[in-house]
Order: sequence, then structure tokens, then C-alpha cells
Amino acid sequence: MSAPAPQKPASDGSATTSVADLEKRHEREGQTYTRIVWTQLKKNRAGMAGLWIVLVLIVVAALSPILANDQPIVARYKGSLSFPAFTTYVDTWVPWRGLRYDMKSWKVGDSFPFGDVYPELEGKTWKQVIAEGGPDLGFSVMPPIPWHPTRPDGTQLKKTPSYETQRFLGTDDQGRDVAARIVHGSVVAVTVGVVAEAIAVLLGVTLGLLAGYYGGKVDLLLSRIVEVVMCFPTFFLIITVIAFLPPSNLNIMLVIGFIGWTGIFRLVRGEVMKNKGLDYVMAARALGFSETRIMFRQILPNSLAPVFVSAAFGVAGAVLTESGLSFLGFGDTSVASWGEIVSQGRQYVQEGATHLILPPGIAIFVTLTAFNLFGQGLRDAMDPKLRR
Amino acid sequence: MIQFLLRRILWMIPTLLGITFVTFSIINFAPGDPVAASMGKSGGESGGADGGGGGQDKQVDAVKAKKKLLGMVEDDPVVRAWETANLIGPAALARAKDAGRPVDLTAAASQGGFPKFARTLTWNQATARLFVGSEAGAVHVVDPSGGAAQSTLATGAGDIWCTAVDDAGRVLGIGDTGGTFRTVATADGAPLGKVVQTDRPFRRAVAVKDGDAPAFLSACDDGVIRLHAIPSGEVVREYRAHSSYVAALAVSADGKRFWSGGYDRRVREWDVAGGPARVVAEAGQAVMALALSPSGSTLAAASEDRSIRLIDLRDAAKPQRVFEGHFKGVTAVTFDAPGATLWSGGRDGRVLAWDIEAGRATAATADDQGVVTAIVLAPDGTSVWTASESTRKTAIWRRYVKWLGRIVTFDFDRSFVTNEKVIDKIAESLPVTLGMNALALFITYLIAIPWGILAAVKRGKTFDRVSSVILFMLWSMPSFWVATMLIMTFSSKRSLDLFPSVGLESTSAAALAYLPWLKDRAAHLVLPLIVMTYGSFTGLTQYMRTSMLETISQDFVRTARAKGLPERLVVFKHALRNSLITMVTLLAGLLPGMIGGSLFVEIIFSIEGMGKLSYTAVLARDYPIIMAISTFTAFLTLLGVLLSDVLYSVVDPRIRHE
Repeated sequence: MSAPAPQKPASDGSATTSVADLEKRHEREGQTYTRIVWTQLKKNRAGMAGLWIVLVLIVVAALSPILANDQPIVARYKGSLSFPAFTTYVDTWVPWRGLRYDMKSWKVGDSFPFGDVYPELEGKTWKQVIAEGGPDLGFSVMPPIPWHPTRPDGTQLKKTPSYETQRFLGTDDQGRDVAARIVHGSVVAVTVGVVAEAIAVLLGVTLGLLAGYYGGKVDLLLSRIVEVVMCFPTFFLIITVIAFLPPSNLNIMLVIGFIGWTGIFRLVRGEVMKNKGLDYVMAARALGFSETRIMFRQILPNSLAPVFVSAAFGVAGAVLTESGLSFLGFGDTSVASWGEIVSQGRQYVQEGATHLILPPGIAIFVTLTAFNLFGQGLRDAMDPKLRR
Repeated sequence: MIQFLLRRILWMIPTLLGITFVTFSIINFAPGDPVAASMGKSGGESGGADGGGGGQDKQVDAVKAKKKLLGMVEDDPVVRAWETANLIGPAALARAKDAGRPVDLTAAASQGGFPKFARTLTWNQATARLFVGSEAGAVHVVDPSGGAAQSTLATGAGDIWCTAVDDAGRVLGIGDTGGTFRTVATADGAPLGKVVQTDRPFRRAVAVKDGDAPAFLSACDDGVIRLHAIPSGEVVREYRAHSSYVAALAVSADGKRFWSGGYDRRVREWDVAGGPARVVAEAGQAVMALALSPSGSTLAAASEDRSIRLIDLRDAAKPQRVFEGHFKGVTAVTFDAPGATLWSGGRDGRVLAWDIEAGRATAATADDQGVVTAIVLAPDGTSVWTASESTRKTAIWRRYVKWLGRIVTFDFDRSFVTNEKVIDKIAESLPVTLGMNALALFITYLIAIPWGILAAVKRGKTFDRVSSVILFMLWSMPSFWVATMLIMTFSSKRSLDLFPSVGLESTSAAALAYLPWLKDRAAHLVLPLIVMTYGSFTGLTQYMRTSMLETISQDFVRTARAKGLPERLVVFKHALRNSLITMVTLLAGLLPGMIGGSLFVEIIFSIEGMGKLSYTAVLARDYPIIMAISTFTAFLTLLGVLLSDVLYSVVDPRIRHE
């Protein structure tokens, strides 16, 4: 049970009590606010289930290149090992081209059996090499779903998507493997959901803190802005802005984040206003703490608790928005996204493309439920009335 | 109460301004030129299909038109002066050759401040004044030597298309689109004679000599050229030969002969004294303007076929020289004083200067002039004046203010794509969306209220638990997925084909009697309504449950129970009424969702509502619609918020005094 999970909420809500001594004492006695919330959350089975699903989802997203790929995880060819499926990681996470090339030549990720090393393999894919076998190939381990999410398999190219063959979930209208696409779709869902909501939280908390703490004109101005943004139907505003931008997931994250911060702003503003008049702030002021210190070290930590709940729901909302955008065709088509698969299924609904509708939909549903369950569990755990 | 309302409404004003500002910013600060971006793709394709040039022209035109529509440019009614020096001769030719095109010409001066486009330019030597006839029906008398204030003659004419001044500079002949030709005094614009009325516009007027008496010639769209006496304006003689609009007139230096050209493509030579006409040339399309060279030997005929023909009047057998350089119809032409340069203006918005001897354009303006309607040589011969329908970029804040002024009057412009009025489109689709949402909301309330009550009454029991799980799952299902699954299950030939999945009625619905029509409509509504209701269950039911729980735990309910009232009465009569208040006030808050929320449903089920309208507009980059919808919905939302505040304050008067 002592997985990395407990640390997550722990690192954030720890500074609830402002007096350091008290906090230390509480920590000794195991009675910090975080610990109380965590204990409560652990009692909430649905909330914990949500948390576990979220964690599994993150792991799946992180491992997606090894879970679904058309290249082996590890293969030995002519006596040397290579790890082609890891190429994606190298390409994504190693920013320097030179180093990328070096790493590939260290056989971290041979994407293709290259012609310059093995001229006899020029132009062949790993799958062909494995299928041909031969004495040169030592062994190879293919991923559980041995297909690539965006590279169509030439043999499966059909006008309509098909649910047949040895595949787990069939192929779409471009011959791409649906199961692989769903596994890789988790990357988009998780990153867009989390990053977009992180932007929203950052904006909402910062501006809410400013508005709540300073009040007056700052508050008036920011509250007007929020009122204006809230007047627009969110999704319409998002598609309007997205339509003008080049389709990329970064843009989607930014737009969702920059439009979705208003709720958190109101939350934080209210909390800060409430906290501002409390004794501990007065005490801090009497101690001669600077404004910024009072704002960020005293009031902010005490106003954050409801933000976590809201953020958990917000991630679900962002995942929903992203899938909706891809469903409408505003998404980044170079990567797999669940909403886009459903929209393909909708196109072929009269041909009975069930395999394009059900699985990605369930994936979205499960993701949303997981985040919502976690959010609700967190809310219940923070609610003192429900504490037992 | 009234004070509270007023205060609330006053608070709406900055928000409304903010809304318009956001909408305006989205459109105008979106990356790239909004119009060019929207045109880029389709324009490129049509360009390819047309084989290059034509398509590109079309695209340029469309971009210009849309920029005007968006208010990015505005009319700039000015008369420009162009220097003629250094435009002919080997040096000019060499420069043009080096540049590979005519060298750029920039205006030396411009006379602005006209309220509307100048249509005609007439120079009078005797008074040294330039008479500028404008679309506003006024003639502006301009002293081009500079400085002197211009005077404006209100002439009583409509949209002036032609003006002429007699040599003495005392009488002005004016023809307008309303088919009237009148003579007025140049001093004060007072009418001098009767108004000649025809049923077609007058396009061109010139001063001639009838014998020795000065007279005006007018060219009319009824194909007749009329000779008007000065000053009475009465028709003295008619010249009939043209079979269609007469658009061009040119007079010889002595005023005894004239040439005419028109939409029947022929150029005719006439004697003012009368007699039959002689066809001197024929153009490919309508002849729009004629100009006689100072020497009187050459007639230049500008035509809609994009060319200018030079007709040698002395030797009819000599082949015409054709100048081609405009990429659209040529609408105005004139010679300079020595007769070495030809100036022309066209619909392509350019003014070109031609070296007559070399037969090619040596200088050109940018193509932003708009249709050039008149060209006249300045008396000193060093410059040429042009009048055109030119436009200029509008400052962004002015655009904002203008746009604001328009939307206040609910003028949302026309759609880029269909050219329909945006307000009509919204009026078409808003009832659809509102109707469906109202229905969906009604159903939601109908189910959510009893459900919430039941969950509250059976708090903590199995029903409450199961219902909360179901509600939770419903909440987490994306609507587009549910819609697709419903179609897959209930509207596919492969499974149950129970309900139609496209539109709100069958194609034959209009012919149906009332009951079958209702049935048809109901069948079409089933699936969309399911999708629209399931999602809002969760929120409403939980609100109902919470509100009910709160009420039930209050003292008056306990009192009712203590009185021994049956539980049913307690719940439905005492508790329910009080907890319903929150539900009613919630209604107003649901308004924004009602307009924007049915987006997916409308797209998936092809229902022509607001959501579909906005989606197609966004895809087609139909800016007027996008701007209108976002302003409109935001405004409605604001109204909803106001409504809910008012409802709250009615329910709970304490709010008013906060």
C-alpha cells in the first residue's frame, strides 16, 4: 500500500497549520491535516479505486510505446542486442539530436534494422525480419500489442474499418490497429488533462490569491474578467479559439487551461477572503511578516484544500474536452486520441463499426470516472462533517 | 427592488463591454490575417482550377470584399493626383523593363474629405475649378491649385454618374442613376431649367457646340444620346444607333463631332449637327470610356475586355493598336497634354500610365484604388487626377467602436459563406435549440425532482446508494459517445432500426397530417432528447437531494412530524415546496448550457440549431456568424444570470441589501 500514491497529496497540503512548532508536534503525533485527509481517503473505497485507476492509467500512458508497438521490445540480431521499441522515449525525451543519434547507435532503440550496419536488411521492417527468422536472429520479444498506433499496416488497408483477423480490437479505416491506438490515446488524455488543469490551477490560484488578498480595484477588475469569461459557453469558446490555431495538443492544453481557470479563481478568492480575517493572519501580521510571506506562506496553503478537489474534477473535465475536440476533428491527428477513434466509429456506424465506438468510449468513461471518483473521495475526506 | 434591479443592470454594462471585447479580440487577433487565412485554402484551389490568374483575381476580390464586410477597410473617397513627369521615353521604359513590370506610382497629392465616393471629374478652364460629382448627389467645386476651400453644390440629383460644364464655366449638366439630367448654375447649384427624366441612368455627359451655341451631350442607358440646350437643359436632338447602354463619349476639340461607345461594343462617330453614325471600331466587350488625343488623330477606347484600343481616325484602314495590361475591365482613360502618355484606370483598382509610342505601361499604382471611375488631365499637364472607389485600412479601435455600434442595433452583418443575414440565421436556429433544450430541461426536472426526493427520503439506504452510483456513471459519460452508441443501437440497420438519427423531421414531413407529423417529430426527438437529458440528471438530482435533506432537517418539518402529520404530507406539502425554491432559481443558471450545450447533439443528429450553426461557422471561418453567436450567447447568459439573481432576490429579500 505504501506505493508512491500517499506522497502525492502529502506534498501539497502539508503546511496547513501556520505555526511551525505545532506542525512539528502534529507530525510527531501523526496528526497533520494531510495525514487526516489521507486516512479518510483510504477508508473511501470508491475514491481509492479512482486513485488506483488513475495510477494505472498513468503507468499505461508511460509504458505505451512498449505496450503497443510494431517493433520488438528487445531483439538480438547477429549477436548484438537492440531495443527498438524504446525509440519513442529517446525521440521524445532526449532533446539533442546528436545525443539522440548516439543513443540510437548504442542500440537503445534501433527503429529499423539500418542498411548502414546490416546491408542485407535494407528497407525491411523488424516484423519482416522476425517473420523470416533465420540463424542471424537470436531472439525477439514483441510488445503485447504488436502493432503501431499511427503506422498503418499495409496488409490491413481497407476502405472500411474491420473487426477481424488475429487482432485484439480490429483496425480502423486506415488500417491502424485500434487496440494500439487506445493504449497510445491514454498519453494524450493524461497529458492534456493534467497539463491543461495545471495551467488552469496555476492561473486560478495566482489570480484568486491576488484578488482575494488585495481586494478593491484588483478584485473588481479580475472579477469582471472572470464574469466575462464565464459568460461564454466554455466549449464553444474553446472550439472558436482552437479553430484559429494550428491543431496541436499543446494548443489544446493552453486553450483549455486559459479558459478553464475561472472556477478555481472564484474558489481561491473566496477562501482567501475568508482566511484574511482570521486570527492567524493577524498574528502573522503582528509578527511583522511581509505581505508576500503572509500571502504565500500563510494564506495560500490554508486556501488550497478545496482546489485539489476542484482540480481532480477539472482533470476529468479537460479529458472530456480534449476527447470532444478530437471527436469534432480539432485534435492533433498525428497522435492517437480516443475521441478521434469514436468519431471514426460514428462515420462507419451504419457499417457496424462497433469496435471503433465501444472500446475508446469505455476508455474515456473509465478515465473520467476515475478522476471524478478520486475527486469526490478527496472532497469527502476533507469534509469534517463526514469524518469518523 | 427596483433599485436592486437597476444596480444589477448597471453592473452588466462593463461585462457586456468585456464580452464584445473578447469576441472582437478572438477574431481580430487570431494568428494571421483572418480573411486571408479563411480564403487561403479555398482560394488556392480555385486558382489552380482556373489555370492561375483568374482564380487569383477572384481570391483577391473575395478578400477585399470580405475585408470590407468585416469593417477592416472603409471607403476612402478621395481624388488623387498623379505626376506625369518621367513616365515616358526610353528612361521610363528601361526602368519598367528592369523592374519586370510597370514601376510603382505613388500619389503626389490627394483631395479628400468627400462624404461619399467621387464619381466624376470635370475640369473647367474658365473658372479654374475641378467639379467633382459624388454618389451623395452633390457636386464639389475644388480649386486644385491648393488651399482654397472647396464648396459643395447641393444639386438635388441622386447618385451622380456624370457631370459636364460649359466652356464659360457657368452651367453644370448633371446626370444621375435615377435617370434625371439637370442643368444647374455652377455658382450656387440653383436649377436653371427643367429636369429631363428617363427611366434609365445617365452615364456620361460632355460639353459640345451645337452650331455655335454651347450644349451638353448626355449618354443614357436607354441607348439614346441626347443633346441638351444650355441653360434650359431641354432635349434638342436625339442620336439613336446604340442598341444598349451608352457608356462613353468623347468630343473633338472644336466640339462639332463626337464619338460614343457602349455596351453594344461599337464605337460610333457622330456629327453634333445630326446625321447618321459611322461605326469606327468594335471592341471585344462593352466600351466603357473614350478619349481623344490632343492632336485629334487618335481615339482611345477602353473596354471591359481589359484592353484599350487606339483607333486611328485619319486612316481607318490602319490596324488598331491594343494595349493590354489591366487584369480587369478598363473603366477610364485619358491622354496627357502632349499626347505621348495614355492614362487608364480599371476595375482592378490600378491606374496605369502607358508610353504610347512603345505601346506598354511604364508605371502603375498599387491595386488598392478600387474601381477607377474617372480620370482627368490636370490643366498644367503635369498631373492626372483620378476618382476611384478606394478604401483604406480602418484603425482597430475604430473598427471596434463601429462594430459595437452595429451590434447594439442587432446588425450582425451577413454570412461570408451564404451571404444571408446573420440575424436571420440565428433567428432560424435559436428556436430549434431553445425548444429542444426546454423540452430536455422539462424532462430532466420531471425525473430529477422525484428522484432527488426519493434519494433524500431514503437517505443512506440501498436506493440512495445505487442511485448515486448510477448518477455518477451518467455524469462521466461523454455525450458524443452516448449519442454515437444510441445511433449504433437504435438507429442502425445492423441492430434495432427504431428511431431516425438525422434531423428533426423526415423529408416528407411537410406533407403529413398533424398526428403523423407529431409522431414523426417525436421519433426524431427521442435520441437527441435522451442525450440532452441524461447528463444534467446528476447535477439536478443531487441539488434536489441536498436541498430536500436540508429542508427535512429543519424545525418546521420536525414540527409537522410532531403534529402527527402523515409522512407523505410532511414530505410533499411541507418540505417539497420549500426545497423547490432552489430548483427554480437554478433554471436561470442553466441558460448558457442550453445554448452552447447541445453542440454535440446537434452535430451528431444533424439538427440545424445554434450548436450546428456555430460549428459550421467555425469550420468555415464564417467570422460574422462566429462573432454574432459568441456575443449573442454571452449576452443571453448574462441575462440568465440577471434572471437568477432577481429570482433569488424575490425568494430571499436579504440578498438585495448585501
